[in-house]
Amino acid sequence: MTRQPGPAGRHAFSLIVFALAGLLGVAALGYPFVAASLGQGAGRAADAPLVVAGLLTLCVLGMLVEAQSGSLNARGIALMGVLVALNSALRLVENIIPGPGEFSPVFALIILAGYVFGARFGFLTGALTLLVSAVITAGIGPWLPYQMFTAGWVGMSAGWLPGRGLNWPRWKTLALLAGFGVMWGFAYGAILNLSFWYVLAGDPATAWVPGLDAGAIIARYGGFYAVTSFVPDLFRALGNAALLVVFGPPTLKALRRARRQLAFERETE
Amino acid sequence: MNAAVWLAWALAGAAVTLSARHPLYALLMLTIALISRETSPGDRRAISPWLLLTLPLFGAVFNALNAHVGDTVLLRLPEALPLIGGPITAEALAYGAVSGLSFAVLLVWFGVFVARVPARELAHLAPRSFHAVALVVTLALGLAPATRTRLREIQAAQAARGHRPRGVRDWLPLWVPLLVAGLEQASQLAEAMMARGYASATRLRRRDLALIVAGLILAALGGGAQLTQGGFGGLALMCLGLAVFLGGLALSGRAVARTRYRDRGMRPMDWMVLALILAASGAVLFGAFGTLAWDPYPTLFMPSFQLGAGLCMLLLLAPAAAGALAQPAPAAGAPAPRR
Repeated sequence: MTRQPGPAGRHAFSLIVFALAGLLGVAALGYPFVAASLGQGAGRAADAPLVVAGLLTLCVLGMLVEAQSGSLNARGIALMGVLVALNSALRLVENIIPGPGEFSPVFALIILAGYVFGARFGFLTGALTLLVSAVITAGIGPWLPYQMFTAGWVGMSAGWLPGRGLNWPRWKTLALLAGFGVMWGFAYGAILNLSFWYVLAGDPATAWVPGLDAGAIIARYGGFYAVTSFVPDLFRALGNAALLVVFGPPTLKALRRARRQLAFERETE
Repeated sequence: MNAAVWLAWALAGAAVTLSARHPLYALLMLTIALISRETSPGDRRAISPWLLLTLPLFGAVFNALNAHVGDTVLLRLPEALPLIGGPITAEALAYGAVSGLSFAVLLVWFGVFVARVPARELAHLAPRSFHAVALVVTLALGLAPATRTRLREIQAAQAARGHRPRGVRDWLPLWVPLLVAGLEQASQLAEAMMARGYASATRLRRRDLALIVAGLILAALGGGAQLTQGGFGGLALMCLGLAVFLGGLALSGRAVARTRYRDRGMRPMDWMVLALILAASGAVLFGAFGTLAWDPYPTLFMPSFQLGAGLCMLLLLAPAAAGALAQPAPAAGAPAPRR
């Protein structure tokens, strides 16, 4: 099999674009925290959810276009189609037999795919898994761009983890991945809560009030998160770690074998 | 119906449901969704009544424990309890229940959309610039049911060898063959695709990429200006950014040479239904009937119902009705509805 010009030789321009689109999305998500320091007038607060959701959708689209270019040749398409199908089937199983709390089996494979095949592949795997499983489980809705964006980041950041070419001992890789899974188990919930937290009219003590300074808003959000999401998210975090430790080694082996077989070249950062 | 019409229907329905957070309108929208599903020639998966009961219940309890506002106090929890302590009011209960109901209607609404539009056509809705992504999605949608079948086969094979899954670790003999078989399939698929000339990835040109990013930045600046200052400038800047962004996407799509197999296209009937949907939802959304959302605070009262708004919502039955009218005479040689 001849080697295709893989994603290895990409110019820095694309990387900058990708990073920029991602950061803009993060900035849009972080809007409620910095609103006060921007000199927010309370009158426009009603527009905030719409503007933020629109911007986030644009960022997801921009990143999808960038990530697919170059990294998705025939092999990439076939491989990703299979991985996304597998992962969506897992989410379907989860829908039929719900696990405890917010536990979900999809993140382990997203993290492993990003770790083995690189950041762009990881981003696409994460974002498209959420998209396809939403179609299958009839879960399409306004929350979908948030889910795609965040799951995309899970896969993308997994591509930045160290230790790939370093011949680390197995326990070290597994410990890294498990810790990473725990971190994202909480972060995913915290980010997705942002999609509705400042729209929700709840307890005044934990609700978003325009005009507060960033510290106070973070404290309020922390309170809201601790009360509503910490325990369910704990299950997702621990579930991620358990799946990565138990299923990680054979899955990594199979994915690495596929990478060699399909002559994938990891993009170099 | 063209899939684009159904997409417009789903988005219009979601927007109307969210803006008219009101028990009677929510029930009307639910009825419309259910009728639209019943007339579907394709999949009629049952909508779980469980969902329609639990979501309002959950919403009511959650909101009543969180928001201690309203005049009709039902009982008082000790103030010492953090967050949930305080008066529990009928208003908060009602508001939460209606929110939960709206959310359930939203779920049903999109469920009907997915049931009515074959997955293949859904992927065709993607613009040309997303060709590779749409291909992955089509592939995955096609492979997901096969994956479930394979899982069942592997389960049966392992059970025949005396395998009984108990703990997490016992799922390994199921997962590994599933994954390896999938990767094997990917390898064969790649060979087949390359044999048919799918070999290369389309690379984005710098100009298109620059346009996309410039559009993003403009839209973000516009959004920031809109939220901090308000006024017309921010909105204009956002529209400009959106235009530049879409222009970049359109230009990048030109590099993709693609034709469609059996493209159905938009027929006159589709355009008419689309116009009806836009007019009806536009009238509701842009305040032809005032604010429809029901706000029970500070004192609970009976929600009122505006006939005009209800009739506008009933117009959202148009795609289902048009589909039912077109049903008795299927075009000769038309592919059977497939999911």
